[in-house]
Amino acid sequence: MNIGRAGIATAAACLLAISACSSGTQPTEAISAPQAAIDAAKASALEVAGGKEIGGKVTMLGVLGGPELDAFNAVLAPFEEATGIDVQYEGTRDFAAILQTRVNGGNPPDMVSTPAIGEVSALAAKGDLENLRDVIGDDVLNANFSKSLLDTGSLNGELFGIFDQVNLGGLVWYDPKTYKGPTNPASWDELQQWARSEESAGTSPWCVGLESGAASGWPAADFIDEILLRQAGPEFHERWRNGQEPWTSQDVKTAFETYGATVAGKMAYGGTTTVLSTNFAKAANPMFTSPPGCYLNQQATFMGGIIMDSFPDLKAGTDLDFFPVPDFNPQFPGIRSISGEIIGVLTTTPQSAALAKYFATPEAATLIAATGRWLSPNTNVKPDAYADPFLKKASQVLADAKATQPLGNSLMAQTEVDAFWKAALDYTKNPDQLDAILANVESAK
Amino acid sequence: MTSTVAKPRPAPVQAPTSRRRTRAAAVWNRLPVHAVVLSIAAIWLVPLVGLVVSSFRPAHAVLTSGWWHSFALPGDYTLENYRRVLNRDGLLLSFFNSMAIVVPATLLTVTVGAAAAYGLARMRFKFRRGLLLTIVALLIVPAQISFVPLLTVFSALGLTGSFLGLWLVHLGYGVAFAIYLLHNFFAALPAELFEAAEMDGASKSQIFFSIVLPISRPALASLAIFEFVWTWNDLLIALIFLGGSRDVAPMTVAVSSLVASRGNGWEILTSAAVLSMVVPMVVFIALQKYFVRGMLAGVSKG
Amino acid sequence: MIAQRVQLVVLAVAAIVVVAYLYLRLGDKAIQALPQAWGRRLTPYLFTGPAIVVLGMALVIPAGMTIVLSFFSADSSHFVGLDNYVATLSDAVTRIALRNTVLWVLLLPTGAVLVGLTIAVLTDRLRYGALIKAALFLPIAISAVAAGVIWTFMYDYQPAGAAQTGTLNALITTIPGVAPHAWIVDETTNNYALIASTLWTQAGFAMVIFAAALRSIPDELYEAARLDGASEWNVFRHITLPLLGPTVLVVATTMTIVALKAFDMIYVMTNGQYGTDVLSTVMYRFLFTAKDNGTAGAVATILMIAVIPVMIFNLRQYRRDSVESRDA
Repeated sequence: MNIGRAGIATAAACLLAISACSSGTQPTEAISAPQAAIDAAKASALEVAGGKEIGGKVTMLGVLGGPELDAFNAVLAPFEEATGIDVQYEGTRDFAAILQTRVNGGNPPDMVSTPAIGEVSALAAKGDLENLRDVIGDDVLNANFSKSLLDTGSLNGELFGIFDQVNLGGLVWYDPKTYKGPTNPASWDELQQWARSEESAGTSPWCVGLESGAASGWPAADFIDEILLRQAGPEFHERWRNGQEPWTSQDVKTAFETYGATVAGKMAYGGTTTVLSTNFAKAANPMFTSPPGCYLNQQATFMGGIIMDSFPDLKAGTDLDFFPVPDFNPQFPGIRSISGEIIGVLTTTPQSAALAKYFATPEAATLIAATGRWLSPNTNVKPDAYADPFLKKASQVLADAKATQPLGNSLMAQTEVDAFWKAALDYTKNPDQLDAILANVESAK
Repeated sequence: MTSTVAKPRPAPVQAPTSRRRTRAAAVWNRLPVHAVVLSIAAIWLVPLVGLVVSSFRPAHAVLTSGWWHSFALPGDYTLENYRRVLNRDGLLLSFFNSMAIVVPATLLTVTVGAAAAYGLARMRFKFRRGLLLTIVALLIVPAQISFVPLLTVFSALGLTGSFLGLWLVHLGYGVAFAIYLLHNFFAALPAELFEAAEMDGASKSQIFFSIVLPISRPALASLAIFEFVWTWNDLLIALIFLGGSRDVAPMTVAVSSLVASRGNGWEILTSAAVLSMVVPMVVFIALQKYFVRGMLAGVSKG
Repeated sequence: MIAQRVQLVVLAVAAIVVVAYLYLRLGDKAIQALPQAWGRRLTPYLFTGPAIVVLGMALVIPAGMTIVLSFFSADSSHFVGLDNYVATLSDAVTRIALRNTVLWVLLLPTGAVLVGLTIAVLTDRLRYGALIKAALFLPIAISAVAAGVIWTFMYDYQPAGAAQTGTLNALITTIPGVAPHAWIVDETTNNYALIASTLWTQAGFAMVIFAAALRSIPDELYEAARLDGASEWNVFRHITLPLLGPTVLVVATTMTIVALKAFDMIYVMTNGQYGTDVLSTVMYRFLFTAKDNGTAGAVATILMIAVIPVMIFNLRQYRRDSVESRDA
């Protein structure tokens, strides 16, 4: 047992050394918001709490973790300081299971923050969520959010969720130093033409990665969603996500096939097996090898941060940039898709009401923008609030958009979303079985 | 425990050559033994070596190349992963929360399990066989189906967010296995142990505390290490029954918050996993002397 | 607050020890005060009572509720009889899950017993045996999520010609002409890959139990046999193995239960995708994604029925044990 004791002693010594070398507990990522913005947020937090430090606590269940959680906590910090309220945020990837169990078991969180809007709307249908119009007030809501965003978070006229952070989808990421194709293509066909010429020349143009643990397939599903929106038009898209158009309809089929053209044959780096096996966060890695294995990665705004994390020496703009996915259909130009997280209240307490109101203020929204991770859905946030160059560009794209629609799959019930993700994987693996695959999803509705 | 040496027996007549042959054969036989043992151990260690090496590599390196590449480059190593984990707000508190959950839960499970196993093994009563089989059957019950019923009762009793509630939950999920394991041991204890005490008029509880428990230290320690490890690594039960309060979150919850919502950032899990292995290993080493000796002594006498 | 936690641990430990002691001793004394026949009948329940109550609340009642709910509709509002069972058993996904669960039950316990027994026996008299045992034990100390992450690393796939990032593919591509394999995505290998990952975390458990059991076999038996010139293999076959019979049953039962309930590893690595579903993942999806209490209950009940053969094996062992202990 001497070896054992020596081992324990060594391990303990190492841990002490590491902790001593690091400088104690401190927030691992401070946001780069100007002090004025933080102070403004504190002031408005105090205001929504009724002008005094009411203290107490509010529990919030969400999905964030890692640096995202650090950023979110930094947005919450001014609120906590000004009102004395302790915000207990718990992030888990098992969100649906935990939420459902705790609601059914009589121990629900006070608030939720999640991208699974369909999941939360199912709870709203059961009456478990408070109407935010009562909690926050119509005038404040209308002054800060667009009608379409408010409608997305509503069920039967009751507002169950407001967006606090938004990602712009439908972007194509590329390395300006190595990519020689069109950076502002007039149409999808023009881009794919270049892609096909690359393929016949022997290189794969697209970098695709669909693996994501339990949620594998979502990158393809999001892209198909976007294609459907812009190819078949917002009205069809809305009917489809509400379940009024079947999955087996021709428009949906065409959208799948349009996506399929990016992974067929040698269009995607490494072929189908690689596409299915590669984690979405590593999908863009081959862009930076020499010679590059592929050139284009279709993904939303958050991909910028992920790529910069993997390759810390990259410079935004010179080594990495994006252009919005070009139009698929001249009938529906300039449409952009967004996804994001909504905040909902299950139990109204003075603390949870204050926090909900805080998220509706432009000051809190400015802090969200300053984190450099997300776009803010608040119409009052100015584009120069974004220090991150990618987000600044993305907010410009959003401002110039002719129409903005939320992605359909975030609004569907989780069973349908799971079936959609699985269908994307199955279709990638077996493109000739599209009809059967779509019929399968339809039966999961 | 079993160290008696057999009496030396008279050697057979052809002693010298055959003994030399046997000894040579014994040496010969050892080689495949070493080969098999070392290859299995190597296979088992490779993933762990990969984990430990990865935990010292910068995040971007983990995402772009295999861990063995770090040996080629002159030390592409960093303590950054460990720093991020150890600096995590509230990690120290979560460590003590874990201890506050796991130690009493383990002790409670072993105690209740030992008492029940003793009753089932050494007392004759009508429902003994039925109870035993029910307990074997209960090993299969998936924990997920009991979350909502238990949580409802706990919420009504106000036990959510409390350590006591968590001890009771872990007791409920762990005691079936505890009884199953200990019952085998207790049932095989020789009857002579009890006859003398019973003739002296000792009651069952006196026998339990003064004879059964001391002689079963190996079995109890072995059970304790398993229950400790399983409770230490639990995440789901803590998330559901502790109700999200950061003050009482165990290490598993604190560590899971290191991973971003889409699962990226899991390279940080490497250092967190290495760190969270330390405590169970320490307990294992501390209990070693009980662990591998005589846990099922006497079972084999069957 | 840390001080509070330490206080809590100390208090809790003290309280548990004291309460357990007082409960059993005073309870026993109280029963002694009653007439003798009562004593014999009540004492067993004194000891088994707490466990029965706890198990009843935590497992028996919820299991019963689940079985009852399996005959009702998804929101438990109206009775549907066997509809849920029929629907799920005819569903292709559940059939795949059933097939996979059988695969797990066949391979995991066998693998665990073989590896655990081999290491336990072969390291018994090796000087560095303790180190080998520690190597096999380490994976038990790892959480399921971490183990899933480790093995996702191990099975990582890069296209042929690119530098491999996964350990397994890196190893096999050193052999000329062998291409990397997508272990998780390919349906012919992924189930075995998942079972192997779980075996990695479980073999140590089997080894520990076997190692302990081996220590309790009297040395005289071995000495006698070896002096008679018996080969190591014969010693193993005729002495060690028979005496380890009950231990094999304990390990095999526990591993079978683990195989039937296998969930965490599969959920983290594939979530049942690519034909790796098992009953637990199917049940999880029905319960938490589809919120269908009826079908989830049906799948859970099917799972619980699968334990009956295990119970039968153990029953025979208990019959043998009680016969022998009566003679002992």
